[in-house]
Amino acid sequence: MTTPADARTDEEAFAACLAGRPVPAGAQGLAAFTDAVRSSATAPGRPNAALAELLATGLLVPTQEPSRGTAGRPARTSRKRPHVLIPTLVAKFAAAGAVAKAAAAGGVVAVALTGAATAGALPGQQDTAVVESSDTIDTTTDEPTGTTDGTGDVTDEPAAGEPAAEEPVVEEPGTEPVVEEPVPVVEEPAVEVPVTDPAPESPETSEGGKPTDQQKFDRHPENPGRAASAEAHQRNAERKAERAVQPEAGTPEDEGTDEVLEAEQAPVVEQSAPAGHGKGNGKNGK
Amino acid sequence: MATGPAFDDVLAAAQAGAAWAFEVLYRDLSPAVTGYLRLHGALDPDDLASETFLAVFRGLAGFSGDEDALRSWVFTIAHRRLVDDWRRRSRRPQLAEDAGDLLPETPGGDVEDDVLTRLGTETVHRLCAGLPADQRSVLLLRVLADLTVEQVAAVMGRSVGSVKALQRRGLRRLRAELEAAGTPRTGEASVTTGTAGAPLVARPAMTGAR
Repeated sequence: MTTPADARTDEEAFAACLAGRPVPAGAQGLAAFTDAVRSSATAPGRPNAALAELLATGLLVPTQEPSRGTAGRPARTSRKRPHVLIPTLVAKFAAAGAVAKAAAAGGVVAVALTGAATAGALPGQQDTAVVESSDTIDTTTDEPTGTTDGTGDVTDEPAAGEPAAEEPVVEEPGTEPVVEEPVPVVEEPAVEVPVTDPAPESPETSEGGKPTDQQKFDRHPENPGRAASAEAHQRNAERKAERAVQPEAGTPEDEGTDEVLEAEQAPVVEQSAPAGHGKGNGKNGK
Repeated sequence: MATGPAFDDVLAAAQAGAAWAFEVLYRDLSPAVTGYLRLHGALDPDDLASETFLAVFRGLAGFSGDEDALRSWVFTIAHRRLVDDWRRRSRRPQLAEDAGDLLPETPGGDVEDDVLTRLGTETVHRLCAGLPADQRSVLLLRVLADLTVEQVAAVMGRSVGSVKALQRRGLRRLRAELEAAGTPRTGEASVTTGTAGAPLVARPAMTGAR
């Protein structure tokens, strides 16, 4: 059994063998082993063919010098040479069929027209643009005197003597249906209520530019409340006419009419009251 | 190294690809490298040594260092080629050439004289084959390549303490082998140990083990 002392002796003997010093007495076998190992590795190996060729001819070390043809030139991104591109395109065009040629020519013409239009090089393009812009400016400056709102309801009235000013307004696609529709609607209340509102259109519309109730009402001829409102106006006009005919004599009929009026107006008042109470938390009445 | 003080010139010429410098380096390092591969049980140590030197000469342009560094680098490449050879052989098992490389049975006598007379080349092969691969690598690199413990650790990719432990265990085992080889002195019949009959081919423990 090997003790630690033997192991230490072995290591010392091994170090002595490696250094060429005399070994201790008990380590002759180790020294013999070391010598035998060294003596077994004295002859060089037999090189194979590749190594023999390398030993005979050496190794060609690649130089780092660049070639003369590419030195100092930047790397070309495209493999095609620029002067070859145009003849290639011409040759391909000539070799193409008739349909392909027509399609290519059409494409070229379309691209050219598009480019010219974009650059503004087409004849007469700049003149029309300037005239149209000036016309629109004129219309906008002249309109406020005659129109009451932006919809152009009263455009027929100030049809003064400027046909050039009205043309761009008519040309606008958004304004045409708005101008034509209200025309018959405006005529109806003007005929039905001549007594109550003698001048519904002229002063208010021209001054503040705000539409009157009648005009707002006329904008929506399809409104179902319009008929009821017209009837109410008619009754009010008849009542006023009756008052004018019967001078302030307190007849029972008048009281009856007043009651009727109050009865008619009462729901309006009752409706507004709960609306006001509804804004609170429901504790106002208590 | 036999190149001596002219090592720098030889190295510069070899890095430039000079054939004569290759020849000088090969003559100086090839015996140790080939012996290392042969004692490790390589199937074709000459071919492995040739592959090692081809790699050395092709990569010599990027080498920088002194003579010891070059020796350590060359044995590092040789050791890696050897490990690769072990792995190839583990995938493709080779037939063992059981040539009966046993310790010769001799009559009794002085142990030291018997050992000295008995330790021929084949006996050295057998003793090395009886060692585990790591222990054998450490001892052979110390003896043949004349590397220090630190250099051996760098070649094998191990720590210095691990190399010292491997060396200690290898010497202990070698001592036991040598003592067992000397047992005929006591008059016993045979000198064979448990591993004496092992063929000089790589054991399973040698394949892939570092």
